[in-house]
Amino acid sequence: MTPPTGLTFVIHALIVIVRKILALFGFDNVSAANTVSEGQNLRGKKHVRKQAFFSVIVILLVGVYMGWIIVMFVGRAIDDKYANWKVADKTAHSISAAIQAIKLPAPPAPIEAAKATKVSEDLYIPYRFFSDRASPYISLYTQQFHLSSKH
Amino acid sequence: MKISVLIPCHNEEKSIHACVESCLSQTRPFDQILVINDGSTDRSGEILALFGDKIDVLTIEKATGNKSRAQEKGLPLVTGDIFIATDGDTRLNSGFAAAMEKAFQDETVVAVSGIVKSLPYNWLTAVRAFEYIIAHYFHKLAQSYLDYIFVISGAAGAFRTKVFRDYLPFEHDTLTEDLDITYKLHKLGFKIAYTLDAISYTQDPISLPEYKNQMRRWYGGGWQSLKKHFRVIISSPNRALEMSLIYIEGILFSLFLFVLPLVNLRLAILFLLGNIAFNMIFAIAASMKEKRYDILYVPFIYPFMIYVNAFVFLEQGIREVVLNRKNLVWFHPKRVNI
Repeated sequence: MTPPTGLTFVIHALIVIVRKILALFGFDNVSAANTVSEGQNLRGKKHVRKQAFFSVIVILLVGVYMGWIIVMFVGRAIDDKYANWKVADKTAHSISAAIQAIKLPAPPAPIEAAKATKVSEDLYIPYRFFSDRASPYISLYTQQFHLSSKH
Repeated sequence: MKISVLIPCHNEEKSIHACVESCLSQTRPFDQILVINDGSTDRSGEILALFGDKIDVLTIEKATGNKSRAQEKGLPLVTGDIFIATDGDTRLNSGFAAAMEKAFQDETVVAVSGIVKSLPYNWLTAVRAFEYIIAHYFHKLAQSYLDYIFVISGAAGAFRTKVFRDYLPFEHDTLTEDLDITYKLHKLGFKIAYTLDAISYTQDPISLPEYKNQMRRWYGGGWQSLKKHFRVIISSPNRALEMSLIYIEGILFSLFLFVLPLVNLRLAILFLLGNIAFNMIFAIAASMKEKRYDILYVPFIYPFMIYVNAFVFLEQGIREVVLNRKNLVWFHPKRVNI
């Protein structure tokens, strides 16, 4: 018997509904990849490690997500009664500050990225071909759309 | 394909007749009906004798103490390629064997889980009927789509006999043998199918203390099996998703239920009223589908039952995991004529 849950039920219900809708359109033979009769443990160490890695990621994501929802809900419930405590707001601010503290490098511009990876200029010819030729048409189209929408 | 049915029976005089009758009236007859009379001290033996050579009976003089030990005694006598594991307090629908046979047409399938429904008796069996509907038509169906059936129902499971004999030794070290076997199947990478057409009707607890005892066995066995097979959870992302949904949310949601009224009673009442309204939608649909109108009043009782379930779930988690106090005492509910 499943323990008392709320979100799990919602997630399961969504999975069932999506699957039923897919079945209506003929996609009812979708099967998960890991149903094998020969045994998963026969697939080698690398495969097992990879599965374990993704499994841990999934567990962490579910844990953080559910923890977050429940902490926020209980936090709001406390704030609702003791307005000056501001548990939910303080929690939200501290988490958002922690996220902002993580400095991610800015993505490089396309041409810089090409230089950095030492990709030949030739590879960018198709990109230039389309961007050079397409941009006048795009601007023309947007101008026309702009004019027609005015009328 | 030969199909056997294996029925452990310990003091089931009130239900064993209906159980065997249901096995005899299948649209696709069973090739063997094997009943293990596990040290019954009531009239179960006499009732079984009435069926004569229509069934095979293995009589064990001294009760083994739990279902999995009785199944273990009976397994060597099974003659079918497939065997169905059910209980002495259970009745199978007439299409049960046919549904199982169909599911085993896929050669890669090693085990199949059917569904369980509760026989009507009082408000508690109505609650259980509602829980089974949610469990089978939402939770388990979604699990089958995720390719991770959490548990093959002990009253409605079927297995390939050879695989069971070769790979699934009975270990009797948990309270939930069905869950233990399901974990082992996942660990070995065997495919488990799910069918909504194989239905078993079972007698559920009829009083609150019995209900609590059964939940203690189920949740306690759940924690025992989780501890025993913990590594299986990280063997695939699907399993990790399912197990973390069940256990992480199980813990958080159960704690939440007890914390919320302490911090804000008004919000807790609103939450429970929302729960009643939400469950009412499903209760109406379920009562129409099952033609059981006692399910309609379940949403009003259910907030209380959620608290019972949450309490037992946390209590057993603390007992089995934190305090490491393993309980292996099997509980026998009271049987009635339904």
